[in-house]
Amino acid sequence: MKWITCALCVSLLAVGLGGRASAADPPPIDHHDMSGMHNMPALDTTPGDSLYQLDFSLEPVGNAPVRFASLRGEPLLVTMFYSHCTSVCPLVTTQLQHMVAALAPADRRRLRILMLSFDTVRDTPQALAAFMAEHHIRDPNWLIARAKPGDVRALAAALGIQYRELPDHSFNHSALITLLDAQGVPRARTQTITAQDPEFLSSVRALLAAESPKPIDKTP
Amino acid sequence: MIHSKVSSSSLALLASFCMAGALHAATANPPGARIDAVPTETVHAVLTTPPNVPPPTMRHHPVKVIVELEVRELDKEISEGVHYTFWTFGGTTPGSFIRVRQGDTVEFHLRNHPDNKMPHNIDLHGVVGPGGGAASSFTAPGHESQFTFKALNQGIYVYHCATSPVGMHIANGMYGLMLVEPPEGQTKVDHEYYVMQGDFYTVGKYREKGQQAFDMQKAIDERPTYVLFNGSEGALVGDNALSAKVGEKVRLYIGNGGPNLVSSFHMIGEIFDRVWFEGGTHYQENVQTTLIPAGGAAIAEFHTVVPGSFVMVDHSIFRAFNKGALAILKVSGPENKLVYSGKEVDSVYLGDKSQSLAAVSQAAASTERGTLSLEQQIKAGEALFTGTCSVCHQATGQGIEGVFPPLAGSDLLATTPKRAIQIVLNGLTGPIQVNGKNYNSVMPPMSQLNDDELANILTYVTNSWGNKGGTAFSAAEIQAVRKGTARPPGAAN
Amino acid sequence: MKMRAWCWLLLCLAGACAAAERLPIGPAELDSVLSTGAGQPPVHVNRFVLDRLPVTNGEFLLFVRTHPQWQRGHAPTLFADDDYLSHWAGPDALGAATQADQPVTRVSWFAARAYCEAAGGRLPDWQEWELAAAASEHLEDARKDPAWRERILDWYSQPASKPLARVGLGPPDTHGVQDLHGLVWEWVEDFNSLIVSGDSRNQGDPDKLKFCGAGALSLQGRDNFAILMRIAFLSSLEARSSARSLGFRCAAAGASR
Repeated sequence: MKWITCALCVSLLAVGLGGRASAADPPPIDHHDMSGMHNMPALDTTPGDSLYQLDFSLEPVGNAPVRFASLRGEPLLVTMFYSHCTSVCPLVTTQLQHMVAALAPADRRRLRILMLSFDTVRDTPQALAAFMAEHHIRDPNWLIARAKPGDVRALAAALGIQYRELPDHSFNHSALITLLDAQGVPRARTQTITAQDPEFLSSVRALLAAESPKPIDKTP
Repeated sequence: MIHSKVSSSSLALLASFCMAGALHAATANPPGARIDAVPTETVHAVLTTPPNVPPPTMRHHPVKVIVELEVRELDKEISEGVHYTFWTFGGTTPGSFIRVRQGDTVEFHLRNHPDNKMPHNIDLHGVVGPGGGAASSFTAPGHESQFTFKALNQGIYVYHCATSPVGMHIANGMYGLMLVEPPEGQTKVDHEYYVMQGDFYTVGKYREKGQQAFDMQKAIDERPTYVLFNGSEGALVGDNALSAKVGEKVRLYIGNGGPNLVSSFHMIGEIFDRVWFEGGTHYQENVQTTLIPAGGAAIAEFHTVVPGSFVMVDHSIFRAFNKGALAILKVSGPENKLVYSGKEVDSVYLGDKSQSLAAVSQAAASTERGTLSLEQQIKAGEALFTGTCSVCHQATGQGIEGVFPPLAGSDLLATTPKRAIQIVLNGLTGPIQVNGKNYNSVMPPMSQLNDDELANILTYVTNSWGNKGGTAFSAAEIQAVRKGTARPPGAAN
Repeated sequence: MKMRAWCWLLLCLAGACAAAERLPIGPAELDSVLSTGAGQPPVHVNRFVLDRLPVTNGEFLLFVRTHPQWQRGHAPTLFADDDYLSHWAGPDALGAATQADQPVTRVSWFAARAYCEAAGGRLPDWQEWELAAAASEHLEDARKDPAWRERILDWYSQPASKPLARVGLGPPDTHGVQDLHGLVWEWVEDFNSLIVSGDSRNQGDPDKLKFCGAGALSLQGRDNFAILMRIAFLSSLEARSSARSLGFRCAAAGASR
């Protein structure tokens, strides 16, 4: 009796699952395929509130794709933008440049900057390269990147950035620069983009001083 | 120095943004000295539920005050047997009373209970800053927001939720009062009470029992179902009435959460010695009724003199008696008849029948006993004559020459007194001569008066103003004539 | 005994799984509440399919059993807050107080997304949700129907402390979808595109430096409070937040824009 009940359950379960699958077959979960919207913890030692819990692929201009989590190891300034933005984003860029210039050379070499584009359609590698040229961004530590739409949405959500595409393909978005420590945990935030934010700059300096340099993890 | 390759128009745009941003930065984040140094002494604010008010701070210097206010969405009775889902600050409508002192730095924690359905925030009218704090306190259920402000101005200030749709959040009870004490403190009083008016909009009618939902259309049309003090019909009446003793000084902090109505606040039987109208710094004296705007407040002080129940109303009076805008202050203690005596005399007021009809009752009693005397008849007749016969024949019996014949010294009455019975019963028209004068008028029949009444009246007439006294008319005589003669058309009896 | 209990559990879950059908909606032109300025044309929403019902406790339980990294206590704090699945008896057990066929609540945006991805779909976009939710039993677009609005507002005035009804009790709308209103709030994929100022009285007062291009923030049709309150609620959340009256359902096939 027990055996029959069990068989019945299992077959029903199969039917049930099969019924759901007929609507749209779920893709097999390939644990080696780190693209797409999977949210898998990168390493057991990653803190629970580290943004590197988000693992997805970035396409930085002029570089091969890298995984977001591979930016672990040094403090990171991260923000989001789009290249044809006329008001806020140029100010954010300038603000970041001022900040970097205000650091000591040793700090400048360690600090990384990531600007991820909202516009997955129009911000092609060429458009982003043009943006870099326009703003004279040459530092290899400065990543101007694009990613898949779902990943952009996830990073924005994790950072607390809001954005929305408008019919004319510009974007409504909040302006926020976040400082992540070497482990990816947010340590400071600023929304001040038209003037210096001395408190934020102090946080950057303090973090760089506190975290001794680590070798950059380049495993894909 | 980094240079961007931008066009001149973009530069101009950039410059204007920069300037705007610099202004923004200057107020939000000035380098070096920011706001005044935050005081080092920290206290936790005592919050009270209405109608109670926290005690005076008794402070003489600014401190940091921590306020923790929790939003709860609760099902409560708005009227007996009528349930409504209130959205509340601190579990009550109005919300908890906050008391700080001018100059205090307030660290405000707004908590949204995880069982709530809606996000909420708070706009405190005593806050100088974007949205009065609303921009910085938008909180999802199960979360807490914190922001800090300085209480720059003294006064009594409304606070309320400002989440869209704002009118609905306010209409559901999300308002309260915050007092910012003047730096010199306030005078001592015996009682401080917290009363706040609000209008409520339900789908069902006034006092329709059961669970009632909020009616957005009625709110837009400003047609409230209930207008209440402190969130329910029973909030401040009966056992929940406010109390004081004779000879005490009372201070009321009166708010109006709205959302729509302005209040005409009045206390029946009391006069406000001082009203800090609109909650401001100056007061008016000797006020009967004060206007409290929606989203505003006032402070009223008065002293109690006599005992009794003093009813607070919105003097747009249908709100008080048909929508519930009633609250009571019970004052107990010794009476003071010089100020208010209570009812002294309760007598019948007859208008122009100023004579007491006591004589008539007395005569009627005597008739029953069979002991009716001439004097009694005359007295009763006089009482009845006044206002009836005297209208034409005058109180003096003189009549009006050429119009109404006299009764005083009337030769007609002297020669044929019993003819008077017929005249009063059936009236008289056509020419007559009285005391050598001609009259041609209309006397209407007085047959509506009964036999006793007519007997008494005629007895009075024939015994007054120099008429030969001694004659008494009896009810039987009147009855005999009444039966024996016909009434003219239209006459009674 | 243990085997029998396990089998009965599977039976329940199978029943729950079998119910997760998706219904087609659109393509359609939507007058979205999120206006992009006066005189803007409607938004085109491509054809998509939407779950008929919200995801249930039973379905989510099956998910966390096959994806243990999403169990309470395992999910990193970036993805789930302290209230995540706090109503379940254990990380992979519902307990007696929680019914398998109630909509799952206390799930974060990240958790909901992961579930939908595992189920071969994704969360609906706000405008897909808005299009679907505009329907009543009789009208494809009931948003101007006062009775429809009143029913929704009625739900908002019920306290959230009442136990949740099971899914499927609401009448199907013109698309056949049930329980978009009156049961739980629902996540959308682009919840962080609902840019509204924390003080909702500022609509139409653009602070251009706060939100780039802020001239386009005002909400159209502000008399449609039912929808406005949805936006107010979703815009108050973080991606890791969960709430006791917040659940979700999945969509699939076709990008919205």
